[in-house]
Amino acid sequence: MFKTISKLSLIALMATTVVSCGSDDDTNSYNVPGSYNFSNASYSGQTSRINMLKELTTYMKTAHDGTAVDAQQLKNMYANTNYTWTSSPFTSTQPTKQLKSKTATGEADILENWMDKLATISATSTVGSNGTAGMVTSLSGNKKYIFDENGFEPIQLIDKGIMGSVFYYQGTSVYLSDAKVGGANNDELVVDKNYTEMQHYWDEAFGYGSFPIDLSAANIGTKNTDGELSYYSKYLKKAHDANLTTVDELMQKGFITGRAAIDNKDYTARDKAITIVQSQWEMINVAAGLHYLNAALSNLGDDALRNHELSEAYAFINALKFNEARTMTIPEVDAVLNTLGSNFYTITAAQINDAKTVIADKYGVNASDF
Amino acid sequence: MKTQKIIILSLVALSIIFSCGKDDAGDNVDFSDLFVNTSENIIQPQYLSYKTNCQDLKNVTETFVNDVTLANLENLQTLFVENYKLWQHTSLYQFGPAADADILLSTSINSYPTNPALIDGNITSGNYNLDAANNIYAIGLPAFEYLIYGINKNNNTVLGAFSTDANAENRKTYLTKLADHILSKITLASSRWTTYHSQYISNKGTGNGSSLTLLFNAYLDDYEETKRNKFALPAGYATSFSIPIAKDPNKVEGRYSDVSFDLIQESIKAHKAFFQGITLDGTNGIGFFDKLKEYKATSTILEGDLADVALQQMDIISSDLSNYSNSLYTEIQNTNPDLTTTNTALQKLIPVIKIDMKSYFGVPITSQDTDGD
Repeated sequence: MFKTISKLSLIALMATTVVSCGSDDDTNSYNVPGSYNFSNASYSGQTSRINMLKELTTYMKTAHDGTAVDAQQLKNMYANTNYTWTSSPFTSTQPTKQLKSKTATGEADILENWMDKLATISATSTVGSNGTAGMVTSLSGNKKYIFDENGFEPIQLIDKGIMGSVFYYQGTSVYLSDAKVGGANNDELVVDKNYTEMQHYWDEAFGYGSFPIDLSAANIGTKNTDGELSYYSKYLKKAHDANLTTVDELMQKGFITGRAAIDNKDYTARDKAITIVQSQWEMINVAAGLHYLNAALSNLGDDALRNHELSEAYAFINALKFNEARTMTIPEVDAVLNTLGSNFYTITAAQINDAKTVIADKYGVNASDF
Repeated sequence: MKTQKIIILSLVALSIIFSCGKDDAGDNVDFSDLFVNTSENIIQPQYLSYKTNCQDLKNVTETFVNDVTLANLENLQTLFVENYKLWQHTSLYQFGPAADADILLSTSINSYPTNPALIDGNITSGNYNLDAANNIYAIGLPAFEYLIYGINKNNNTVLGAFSTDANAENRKTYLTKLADHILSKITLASSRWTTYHSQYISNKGTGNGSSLTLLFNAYLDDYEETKRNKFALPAGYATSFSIPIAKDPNKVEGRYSDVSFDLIQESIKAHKAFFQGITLDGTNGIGFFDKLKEYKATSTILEGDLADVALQQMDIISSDLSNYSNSLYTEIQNTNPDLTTTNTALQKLIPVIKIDMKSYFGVPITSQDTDGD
């Protein structure tokens, strides 16, 4: 009995593996590979920006050890001006890119305001509480976070804010727009390069996600979240853990199929892939937002953990605005954020739950899965 | 590339073989009778019984605040201890209605150690929302306990705080609101269970949202909470990321009434009764014990029949707990070496539930892990 079942499952599994290893059931006349290992793929500028945010966030977090962080340095790092990068990716060459110029309109001011706030709060040694900005320690004593007087965490609002307003915005809206990848006349090789503009734009969108090129639902569980997965690829795991098919949709049907389509001038397939990338990447924000709302509910009485988790949730939900093919309208996103209110210390479980319900209903998912 | 594929394939196949084993186990035993018994004869009656006691607590609170006398205070304290013991039998079912965001039964009723400064601040200002997240350690039974026992367990001081103190009126209001708040949560949970019942008894299987998964995890979580928060954490046996946490007797449950040992004892009793499927009227119905017997389950942790050794371990814990002559607070302060034995006894049961029972039931452990940032 036992043996038969395992044998049967093995056969069934082999069958599905064969199917999924093939290039999908589409009748393409060209080959779609199983990973994003296109020989002329190029997105070093995106990798560079991702590493810049890492260094910026590492600097911000020194505030947890009592360091007063400098507002001007934060802004210099953000705009890549008057600052010498020191993290390992930049030891031989300083980056020439910047995060600020790639930020969605209007968001840079908001981010820089948080930088000012962070600098001000980190310069004092005040313990934070409702109505007082400062550092708050978790009940277990393990975690320390800096909050403003309403329990909003500048570091998360900056870090996740840049993820949303730069990485996600550029990846789903700017580079996949008609003006960039959708244009018909950019399929000639770029001067001195081995790729076309269209290929490169597509690669740049891909690059903003920090997705390992071979990432799939089958292997995401084996990738560590401390290097192999980072930023959006790290939070993609939250969607995967909630049994969504986001990983394979985004990677295989979205980015990989889309790039193969561009290589083969199959613009119908390309446009289909654009839609898939936009809607599946959106699910990463949804998954992370719901995950952190759930976490805040389970740590409701812990000022440090709850405020931290709500700040994360707030940033991921706010990010939903930056996708031009967004499912929720901007007023709908704002309504959810309003539900969470303006003070994370005095928020109630019912408020958090209301926000969860609206998002889950909108995206047709079960909020408690995250 | 090809080799890689073969390796991955064999790994996946291997994991399927393993998971088939577990799923098989879960499918062979039907849990319908357990669901019916636990809902109709244990959980719902327990909620009703606790609700009635909370109504009494509210009435006796009103009697006390309307007439601040020693006799009324003592009555209130007696009822409070009774209520806190009953709570130990009520806290086991932290799923379904108890987990609804407007109820959060355990969080609302028993978040400890309570925060005296926050409570005093609320009383002084008179401006607070008991449902606000930052008031969780200023509500429920622990806050109530702080108000009716005071930090030094001196009833004259308590009577003064409710009569001659400048904030006496605000304190009376606060105490009354706490009693109302507790009553309102259990009332909601109790009434919602009558509707939830049909979903509970029909939600079969071993998936994440199945009733068996919810019930098993609630049982495990409540036991882990007893082991860690009621005992190991205040007594200095808990660790965080493998780093030992220093003992702190102020973290005990029942800090102001000094009934900590009784509460742990009661919690173990509740776990034992539920494990056996004993109903509120004392009938021995279908519980985890009976299901493990159906599986002919054996323990990998302790020698022998899983159902029997789990029960024996609960008895060992109970008898061990009954050996102390001082309050838990005092025993921790005095670093009584017997605490180590108690800790070992409490700890032993965790893998019996978490590993042995889990593998027979074939359900996942759903408690959240933190992602480290």
